Amino acid sequence: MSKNSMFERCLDGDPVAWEELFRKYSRAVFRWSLFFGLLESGAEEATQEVFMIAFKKISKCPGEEKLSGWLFQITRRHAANTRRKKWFKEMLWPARLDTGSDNLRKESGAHPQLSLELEQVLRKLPIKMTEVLILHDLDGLTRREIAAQLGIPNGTVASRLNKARSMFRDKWNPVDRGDGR
Amino acid sequence: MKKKSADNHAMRLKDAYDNTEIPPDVSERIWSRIKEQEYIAQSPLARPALAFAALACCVAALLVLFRFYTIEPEESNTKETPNQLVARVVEMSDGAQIVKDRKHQPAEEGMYLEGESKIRTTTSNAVVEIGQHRVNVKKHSVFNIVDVSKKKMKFSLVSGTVEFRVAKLPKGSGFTVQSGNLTVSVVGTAFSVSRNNRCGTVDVQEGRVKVEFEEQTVFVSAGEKGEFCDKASPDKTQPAAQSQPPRNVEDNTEPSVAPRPTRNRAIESAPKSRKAKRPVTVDKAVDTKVEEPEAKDTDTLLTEEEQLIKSAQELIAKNDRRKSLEVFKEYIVKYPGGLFAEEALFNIVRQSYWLKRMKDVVKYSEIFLSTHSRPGYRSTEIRIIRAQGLLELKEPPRDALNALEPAMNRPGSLPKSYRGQAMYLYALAAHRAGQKEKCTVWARKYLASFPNGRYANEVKKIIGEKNAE
Repeated sequence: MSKNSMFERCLDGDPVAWEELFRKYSRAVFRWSLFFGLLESGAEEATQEVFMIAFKKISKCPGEEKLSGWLFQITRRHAANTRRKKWFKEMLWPARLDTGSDNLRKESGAHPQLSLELEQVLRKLPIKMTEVLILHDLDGLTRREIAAQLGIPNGTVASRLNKARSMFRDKWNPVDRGDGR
Repeated sequence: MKKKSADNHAMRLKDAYDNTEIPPDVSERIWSRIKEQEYIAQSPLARPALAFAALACCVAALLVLFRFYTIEPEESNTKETPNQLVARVVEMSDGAQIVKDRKHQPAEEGMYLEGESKIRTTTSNAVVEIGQHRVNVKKHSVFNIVDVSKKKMKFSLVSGTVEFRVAKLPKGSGFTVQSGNLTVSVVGTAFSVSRNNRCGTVDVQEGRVKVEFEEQTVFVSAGEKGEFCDKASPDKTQPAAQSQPPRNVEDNTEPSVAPRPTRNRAIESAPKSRKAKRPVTVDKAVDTKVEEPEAKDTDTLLTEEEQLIKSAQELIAKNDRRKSLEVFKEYIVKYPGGLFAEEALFNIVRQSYWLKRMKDVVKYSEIFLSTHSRPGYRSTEIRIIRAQGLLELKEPPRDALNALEPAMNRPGSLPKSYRGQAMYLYALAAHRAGQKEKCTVWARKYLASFPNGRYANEVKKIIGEKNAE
């Protein structure tokens, strides 16, 4: 690794390197946030938060080659926290939040990147299942790479992946029937 | 069919993922906000947690200041009047009682004793503060506070021992302690008064006190100890007093009244060091001013009982356990209820244990525990030794468990040097008695505390046997 790599410069607190890092990884972080079941506005906030945390704790990142995995971990934790908070609010004020959620979707103004049914399916999947699904089926990582990144055994990755796929199928099919496909 | 449909949708999912882009305006918005946040984050007040903590600190400081300026003076100061002091219990472990108007109530720390009060202690001391003076009522004592006016402080001791630390008294004021016929007046000193049946003892650590007894006045100085017995009390000091030269007790300077020979009064004097203090009896009725006897003569001043114990202790010091054991046994036979009976029994058990005479250990430990059952270091040690003896003699393990039970119920009371042994013996006794749970618990406790201890291998064996069962 050259001394002038982006990661090294980020460690030195170079603002240009920070912007470079943001431009390079913002798409991935935004995409992960959406696929972790957050709404578009939520994904936007999540992206901002993830980079804020990353800038503060960049010294704890194990290295440039693991930067992507490190950001994924932060995104995953943030998404899990957001979903937990949301679940808690739904428990307290169910009716109010349902309408709020719809309004939020309308007010976000942005073109929906995901179809409604896909978003619904992703929101229903547990975060542990979603992460292996994203990393394996969408990002194309091998099971061993996922195991190393998440710090879990290979077998656990395989079982979670299998379970995630079957859950995805189960949750997708009722949507199919509803659409009459 | 279902799988095919799912595969289609998996492909749709992949497509959706690949086509997802962050809109450029959103990206710019996020970046500008990050830059802004970074800038704001440099100010500590921008962080809500820090701002809240700072605010909380300010409020706490204000509250402390407010409390400091508005606090009332302590109650003790308000209770005192220009002429009257107030007694207050400042230290008390448990068991002490205050008797007021014939009503008993448990003493508590910080309690005020107004007017005439009686303090009755049981198993622990109680310390009372009266103005600048401090009174330590020792355990098993009954002490009356008669008057605590500034000009005349008056107390009386019914039984037990009380230690006084008296601050300098203003001119014209008095501090007197009454105990039977004995009246002790103070000028500013540290001393203790104790009462046992008909005898009162005054032990002075600092300064000098005036003692009035049966129309006579005597001054007892620092390092001296005076014992004053009523006429009807058994005259245990009489023989020694007759055979000994009188001591250097400073006589009264006030117009003296010739002491009546029928009254017994002995004054014990000792060197200033408290450790070296040895009671020596003196007949004050014969002479009033005497010289200090030489150290070599002090042995002749001891009673036969004291000499016996002293010789036994000297034998222990010389490591002659057999002979010391014989002397202690001789003492017990001669003086079964003597002053040093506890000491003798304790040493008999210990020396028998060292000489591996387990039958003696069991026999004398039983006598010791039945006659001196109060909890303490000695009884704990005796219990452990007894348990060892019982287990070695293969006596019923239930007896060993019973012997150890009171000590193990209060593990904090176990002396450090015996803690491991006690745990091992308890586990072993429980093992032999078939009490699996108790045995396992204490064996594990032992291994946790002493993994490489003397009994570790035996304890591991016990655990192994229990597991095999």
